[in-house]
Amino acid sequence: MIYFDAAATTLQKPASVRTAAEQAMARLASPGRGSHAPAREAAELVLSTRELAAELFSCQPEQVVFTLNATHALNLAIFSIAGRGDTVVTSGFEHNAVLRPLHALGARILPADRQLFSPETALQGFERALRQGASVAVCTACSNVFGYELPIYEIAELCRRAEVPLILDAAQAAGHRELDQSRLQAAAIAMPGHKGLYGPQGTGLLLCGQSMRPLLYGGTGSQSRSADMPEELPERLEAGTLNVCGIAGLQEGLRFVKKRGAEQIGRYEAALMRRAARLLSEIPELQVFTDGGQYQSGVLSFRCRDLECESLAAALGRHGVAVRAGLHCAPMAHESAGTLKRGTVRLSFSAFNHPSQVDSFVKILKTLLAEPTKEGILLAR
Amino acid sequence: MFDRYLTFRSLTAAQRAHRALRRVGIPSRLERAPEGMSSLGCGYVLRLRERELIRAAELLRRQGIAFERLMLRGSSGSWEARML
Repeated sequence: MIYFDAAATTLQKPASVRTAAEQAMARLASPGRGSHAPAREAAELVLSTRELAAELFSCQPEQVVFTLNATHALNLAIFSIAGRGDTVVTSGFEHNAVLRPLHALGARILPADRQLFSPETALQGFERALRQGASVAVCTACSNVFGYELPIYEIAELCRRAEVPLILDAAQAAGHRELDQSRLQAAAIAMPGHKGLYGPQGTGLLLCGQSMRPLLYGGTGSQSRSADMPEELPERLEAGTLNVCGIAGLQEGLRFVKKRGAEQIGRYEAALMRRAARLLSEIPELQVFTDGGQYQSGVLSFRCRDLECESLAAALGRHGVAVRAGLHCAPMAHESAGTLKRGTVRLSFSAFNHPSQVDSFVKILKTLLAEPTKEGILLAR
Repeated sequence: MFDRYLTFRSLTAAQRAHRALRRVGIPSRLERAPEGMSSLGCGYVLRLRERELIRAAELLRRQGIAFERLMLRGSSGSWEARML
């Protein structure tokens, strides 16, 4: 199989990820829930994973909170920092993991910009919104649909100057580009463990730049007589038993990223994206969304003028190519790019893909486009 | 004798302290707080020897690793907080 759906989850992982998760299941118990060796060793593993994450993202281990995924982390941050009626400035490329919590909260969402691959416009939009009184900023570091990399360090600087807390959605950036919390000083950075960090599904991280309100309440193995959650991070936000097996796998994923370097991985994936963009652009029936790689990660969207995206993706799947079509849970991004009605087909690369896979994919796609009806691909309406 | 107890409100802080001390060769034992030591219940302690206590506390303060207080068992057998 050619797997080009790393933006949803990375399927190919370092072998050590699976080994570590399996060993944890066999040997480790609940950290902080006993003095016996399996609990102690679990606690050691959890702390060493926090330390590794802290080192990768330049923060303190206590600031690293384990979550189920990036959505969980974003909910924690948004419900802590934003309030009903607040004006929240966002990029024009946010995921529903940002938009739905803000909507549920009753916040007023103010998209700063709508222009794809235009960091200047994004900065102007954020600056304008902050001047107009936005009290919270939430921004994706990279669009999950188009791979557009937002100028997060400059946006963070604008927020700092305006004394507005910034929540960064790093779902498509963690493990692909440098994320340095000591420079960003974001109020929160949310990321999944199972995408660019190569951990198992069911893992995520929230890097806390400030104290947060818990989303879950329950046992922490500490201060048990108190009816309140502990004030101390990370325990304050980690009620219930941690996903120790997942964290064991995540540690190996983090090691892999540390060894290769997030920037290096990102460059490799972007090179695959550029190769795909170049080859796809030679096919007249396709519309390819790319800026040539200037502000674009290893994520590429395209669509065929005459064919339905979901149907085309399904046909690719039948020929052994895994891609994702539709709106990618990001209607705002599609609205900004003018693709809301039909969506796009998305390719997203990982460190485990090869240029030859891109070439094979293009060959398969050309075959499908030559005889779409025979392949059961529906016409776009 | 590891009879000096530094108390911590969180496992993470206690673990970080344990590692920081180990790195500079100060032996300590990380345990759950003994019964009656923590008014809030379920805390964590580092057990230290008296001769390393001051150096350990200074190191933790320098590294910004927060501990609550120093406890030791009084002559009556109950836990007593001591100034450090």
